[in-house]
Amino acid sequence: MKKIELKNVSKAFGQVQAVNDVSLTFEPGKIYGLLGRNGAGKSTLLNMMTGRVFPDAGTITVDGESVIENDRAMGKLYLMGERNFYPDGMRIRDAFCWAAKFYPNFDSENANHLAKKFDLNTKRKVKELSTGMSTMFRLSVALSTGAPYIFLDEPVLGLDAVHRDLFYKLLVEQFERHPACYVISTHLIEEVAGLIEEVFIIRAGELLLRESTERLLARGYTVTGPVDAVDAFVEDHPSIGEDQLGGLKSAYILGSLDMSKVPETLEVSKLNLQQLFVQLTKE
Amino acid sequence: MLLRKPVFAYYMKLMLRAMMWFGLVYTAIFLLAGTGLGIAVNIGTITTEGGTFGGMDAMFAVMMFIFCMSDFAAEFHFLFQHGVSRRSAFVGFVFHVLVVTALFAAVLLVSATLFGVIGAWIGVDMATVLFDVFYGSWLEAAGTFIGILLTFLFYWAALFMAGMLGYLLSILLYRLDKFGKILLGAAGVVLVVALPVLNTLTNGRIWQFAVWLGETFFGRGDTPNPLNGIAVFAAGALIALVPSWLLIRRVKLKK
Repeated sequence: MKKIELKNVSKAFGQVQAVNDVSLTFEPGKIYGLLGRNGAGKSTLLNMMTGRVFPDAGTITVDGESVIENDRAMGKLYLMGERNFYPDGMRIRDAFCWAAKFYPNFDSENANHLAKKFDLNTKRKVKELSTGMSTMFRLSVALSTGAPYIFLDEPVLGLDAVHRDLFYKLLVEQFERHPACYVISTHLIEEVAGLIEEVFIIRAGELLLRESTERLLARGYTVTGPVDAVDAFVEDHPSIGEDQLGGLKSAYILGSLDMSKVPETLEVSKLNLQQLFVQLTKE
Repeated sequence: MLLRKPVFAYYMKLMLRAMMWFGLVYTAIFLLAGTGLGIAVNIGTITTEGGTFGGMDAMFAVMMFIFCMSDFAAEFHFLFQHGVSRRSAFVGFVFHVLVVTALFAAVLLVSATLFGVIGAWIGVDMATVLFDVFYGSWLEAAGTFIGILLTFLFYWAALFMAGMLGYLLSILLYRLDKFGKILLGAAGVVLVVALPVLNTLTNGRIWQFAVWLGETFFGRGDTPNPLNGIAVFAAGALIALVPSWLLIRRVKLKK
């Protein structure tokens, strides 16, 4: 079956356990969200999946083949990392040409089309690009590789609101044309909440949660009201977090909620993905 | 899939640019020599007990060393960005150096002949290459075809070894941390400063030892065989290749 599969993968850097016994799968035809706080292990996980870093333990396979030093498996992956790995002196148009040599399904026409949409001059050299422009250039490559598995680590770094919005639209368009596996790792959770079909939340190097975005959001509630009433309510409905402001308390619930059993003194509202993420990952 | 064509093409493209620059510098130096200045060439002229040689082949070898150690990080990162394994990057690099050094060896062979004629005409020794110093007498005795073939192989092996040493140094610099780089740099500086001083203090014994070492490796006797030199350079290249592979096979991308 076509998928990326991680089995019991661990990685430590010195004394720091960056990833600890993580097992997960990514399948083509889906947009995933890989969420976690700074230093949670997202980038390490992505770097291991693309063979840039070796895991200390566990296995990583792409369509059944190990990714370690395997050109065929690595050729199915494209990671747009936070850092630019293109030579400073290379022009954008040349980078497109080289990408086409390494990725047989690279769509040069699409890359140029995306560059145009982003107002990028393809004659410019990589070193002449600002942070935002560098991101746009690398997004143009990433969305045109034709690779079955595309990882986007902080894909909107340095982009203004207009360009971020444009990227999300282009991603959806690209996904409709080329329904590959897209894994987005970002801190701008609410912006991608509408795009991602399935969420992985990583905390301190461990997989905390894996669920479809729709199902997860359907289970998240905020219950707000007087402190006593909220405290009484959470005795039967374990909360994932609480906030208090004066005599008013909010409890965050992840689970099923029978609205008929909610006292009138309490107000119930839905949790959004960012609120859920904050409550699940805060210390 | 031992050799990936795009990897080879990428390295060749980079080398082509470097070679163009080298060609320009190389031509400029010999034009300067031709106008009577001869500074660059005379600086590169080394006198041994066995004879004198111009700096042409040494310059080729030094340039190959520099080309191969240039910006390992940028090249490696670019390839890794495009799903190339460490093994394919290594194989692609070695293969392209083999091709480029073969090309350079051929150019050197032609240049040495050409500039030998020009040098004799203008009175500056530009083209008495190291090969002639060691194997001049053998060359006179050998047939033309064998002579050209072994001269070519000698250059090829020498340039390939120089390239592989450059590659080894570039990987080493990538793998070392800041402290290691400082230590390596300091060791190099100490060596460059200490060797001439030691040579003076020991009444030239260091240089004599180097010459003796060279003669031992390249062959002694009335007509030393160039196969000695070829074997030495090939072994040197292999010695550089093995640690290069060991260093690259587990290298992780630096942030």
